[in-house]
Amino acid sequence: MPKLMLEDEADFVIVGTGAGGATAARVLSEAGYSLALLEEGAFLKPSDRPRELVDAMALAVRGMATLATDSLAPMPLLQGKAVGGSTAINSGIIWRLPEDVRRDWVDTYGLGSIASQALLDRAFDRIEDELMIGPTDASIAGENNLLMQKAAEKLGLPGHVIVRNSKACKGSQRCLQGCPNGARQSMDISYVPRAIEKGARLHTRCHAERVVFEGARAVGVIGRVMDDEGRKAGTFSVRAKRGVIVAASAIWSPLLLGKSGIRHPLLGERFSAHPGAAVVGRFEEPVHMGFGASQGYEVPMRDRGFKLEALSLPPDMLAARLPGAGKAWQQRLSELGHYAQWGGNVRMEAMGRVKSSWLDGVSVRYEPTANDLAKIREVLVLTGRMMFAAGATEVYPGVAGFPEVVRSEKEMLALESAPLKRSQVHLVASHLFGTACASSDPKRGVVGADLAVHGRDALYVMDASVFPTNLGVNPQHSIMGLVMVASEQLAARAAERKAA
Amino acid sequence: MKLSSIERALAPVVLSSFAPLALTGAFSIGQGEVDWAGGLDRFLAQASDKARLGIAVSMVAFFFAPLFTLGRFCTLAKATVEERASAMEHLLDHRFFLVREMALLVKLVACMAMFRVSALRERTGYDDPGFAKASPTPANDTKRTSLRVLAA
Repeated sequence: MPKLMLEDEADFVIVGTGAGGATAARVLSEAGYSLALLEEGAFLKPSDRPRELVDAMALAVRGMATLATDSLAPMPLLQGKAVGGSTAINSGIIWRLPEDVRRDWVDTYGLGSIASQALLDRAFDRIEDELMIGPTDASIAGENNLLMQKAAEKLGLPGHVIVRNSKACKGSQRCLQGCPNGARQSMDISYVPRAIEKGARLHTRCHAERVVFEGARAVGVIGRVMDDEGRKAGTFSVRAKRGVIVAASAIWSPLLLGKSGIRHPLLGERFSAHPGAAVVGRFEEPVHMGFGASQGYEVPMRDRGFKLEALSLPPDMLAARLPGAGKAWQQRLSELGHYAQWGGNVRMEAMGRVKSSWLDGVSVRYEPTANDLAKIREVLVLTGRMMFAAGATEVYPGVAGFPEVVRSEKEMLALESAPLKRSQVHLVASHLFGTACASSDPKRGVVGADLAVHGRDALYVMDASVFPTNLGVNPQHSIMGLVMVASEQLAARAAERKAA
Repeated sequence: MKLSSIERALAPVVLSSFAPLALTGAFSIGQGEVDWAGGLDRFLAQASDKARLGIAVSMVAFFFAPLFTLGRFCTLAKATVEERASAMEHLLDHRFFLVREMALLVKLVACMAMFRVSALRERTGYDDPGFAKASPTPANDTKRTSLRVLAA
């Protein structure tokens, strides 16, 4: 059978169509440059997104969220794998880059030329306008979010309605499976189609294997084309006249750079994330998680190093999260409309490492420190207390060695005094960054303040890999803002060269 | 990727062991209502190498779980419905993290297979029966906002 051979040429080749790659595509296509976008996953229309979790995840979630850290207590890593990347499976939560983090990036890492307050504010304003960013409307909040609001108000916690990139959300609670109404303004709905309108060419099912150089200059990308089953169907070679932008995520960008011959002591290092744990509570009144914004209420506790969020689950995940098996479990399944789930993402101080491996193509080492585990324990205790404050009759903390069903706040508080080991909790890591960090000093960063790889020409990294430190808030908006500034500057420099 | 013949044979026995009883008035699954092997196949086709390996080993080990939970030679296929559920509970509560995590992952696969069946989802009361009729008109598409920056 003849193998597919795909060839293309463009001013810029962009690897990845998540928050970073799509924003760069949006800016550069607007500036009049030709683009070739390479995406490993498929392009899914809202009508292609199944309601059933296993079918939806098979289309859009990398490895069914079973790609995990290398450890005796592995931690699953949640990433999207479709046009739009993780923006096509997340809840669209929007936070601007926190000021303390921005200042640290400017002062410590010399990123003032892309992370000045004025530049970022302008980029954020534009993105917020274009992606219809606004607070979750009360009419589609859903009981899971409203109960968390009730709990926060009762305990005097600093909660608020979540701000999302959503247009006419109907509360289908299918953010993870993919919005069936195209309401969430993820990159597959917003910036990628805009770039295509301006002439960008999107090549899906293309797995980039190597950046090609002529001397120190990046001149293209080669890789393999996959079929619907993930088997190799051919190869591709895309030539870049002006530059290659790598935006394949904090896991895959450093691996692609490494395979392409980039050597830097910090490449793949300083991996960080926001691992999370969650608590489920049973309520007498119906919650009906199946309706509402998947995530519509949050309690940021930045001074404590975590953020609590309401997180509605699809029925499969909720059912698996309920304790036990057999009669008691089946009884709980028959009342699946009576459960709420809230959890917390922790701004971990731990740093990890990403490197290539024969198994799954990648090895990620990342272990929480004792301080991180203390924060996780605090998340669990506070979330449990909130559940009781909102009227829960039973709470399931999900901590091994601790009662699986807790019936009072007093019982919940017992967890506060017990040391928590990593092996006692199930953690899931989302928001991954730091593996090709930016710094104007070539010794402290893989890329410079223009997000160009130090020591190479025309090679850029534009995704969360470039974040020098952990944000503590959902990173999508910070990625888009930083990349918008960097790609505007790139377009301006390219225009100057063209004019010269 | 296709399931091996062993996985195909073990899937219905192992995955159905989490909810093997038909209780009056509670959530119950009819004979042949769930395509357990189909659900497992769909999951494994896109799962990571490590998860595929882990689930393959777990399916075999869990099939023989009653050996350890009952202390006599018995497989899930030969155990009573109560013993099967008890074996799965034991695995979910095991002292070793990896055993617990694999049991949880297998339980999740079982749930994914179950909830591919719309009738089972309806039986749980998960969805708000009034939602489809109410079809609320949200207003946040008109409420654009500029976010404040979080202070240090």
